[in-house]
Amino acid sequence: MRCYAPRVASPWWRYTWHTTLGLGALAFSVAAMLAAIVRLVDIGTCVSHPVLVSTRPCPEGVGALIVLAGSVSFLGFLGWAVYATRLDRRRPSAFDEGPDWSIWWWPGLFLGGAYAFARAADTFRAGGDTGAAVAMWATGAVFVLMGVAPLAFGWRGLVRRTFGGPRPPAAAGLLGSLQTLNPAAIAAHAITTAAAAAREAEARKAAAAEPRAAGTASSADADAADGPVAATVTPSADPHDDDLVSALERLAALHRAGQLDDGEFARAKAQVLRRARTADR
Amino acid sequence: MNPTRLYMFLLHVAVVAGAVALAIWVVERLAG
Repeated sequence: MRCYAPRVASPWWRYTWHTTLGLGALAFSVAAMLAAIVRLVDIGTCVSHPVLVSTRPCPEGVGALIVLAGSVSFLGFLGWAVYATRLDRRRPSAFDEGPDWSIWWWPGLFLGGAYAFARAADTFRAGGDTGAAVAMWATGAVFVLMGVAPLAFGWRGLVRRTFGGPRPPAAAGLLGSLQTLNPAAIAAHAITTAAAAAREAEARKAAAAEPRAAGTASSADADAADGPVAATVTPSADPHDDDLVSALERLAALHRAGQLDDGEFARAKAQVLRRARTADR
Repeated sequence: MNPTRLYMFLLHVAVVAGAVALAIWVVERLAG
């Protein structure tokens, strides 16, 4: 895999300050939330309210842990936004450079949650509560699936993006910047960018190969000297027809090269023919 | 002076390690 070198344009102190502030708040919040959840799950049920009454008294500090687990999410969001708005490329900043781990919030949060559920499942199993243990394991499994889904489908895109690779184009505003952190959008962008580049390279290769084929054909047929299409098809008097034929030829070449499967070829062909009909009218 | 790659890497590691350690310390303290 290609390794992307970070683009560095900021003085070290600005880079240091922004990274410490944003990434520090983000990492602190995620870690504090997960640590608090793990502690609370270890403690188990103890809170009573008017409908459900627990016979176990809560140990000291449970309230503070609940408040912490709830409130740090806001701090985490702020840190995330600070760390992430480096993606706003219309306003280049220190955040536009260097490794950027902000997209890993998704796998981090879900895999951390899965760890908390696995711990809870083990605690319940040791306590003899098999039903609760199974429920915890099932929830943990869902969290693992959620966490690894973007890795499974686009880990190359995520790694490239971390080290300054292709980024989805940012829409205007803070929401647009934050949208570029959507792992699905990043993976999809990386996949479509790579696929488009591969198709383009293949088409260029095919275009470079076709004139040679045409040259061979023209030696056999002196009339066919007008390039790739004329070499195989009788030139038509109508320029629209020539465009149509050359478009169909290009599609067929891509299909032969394996760049388009049968379904894609059929759809593209239908689209070309539809456009030609519209142009004729 | 611009930050080098090694500096950026070490900074990220240090910031994350420090923040995680601080979070665990706070939670342990709150939990008693």
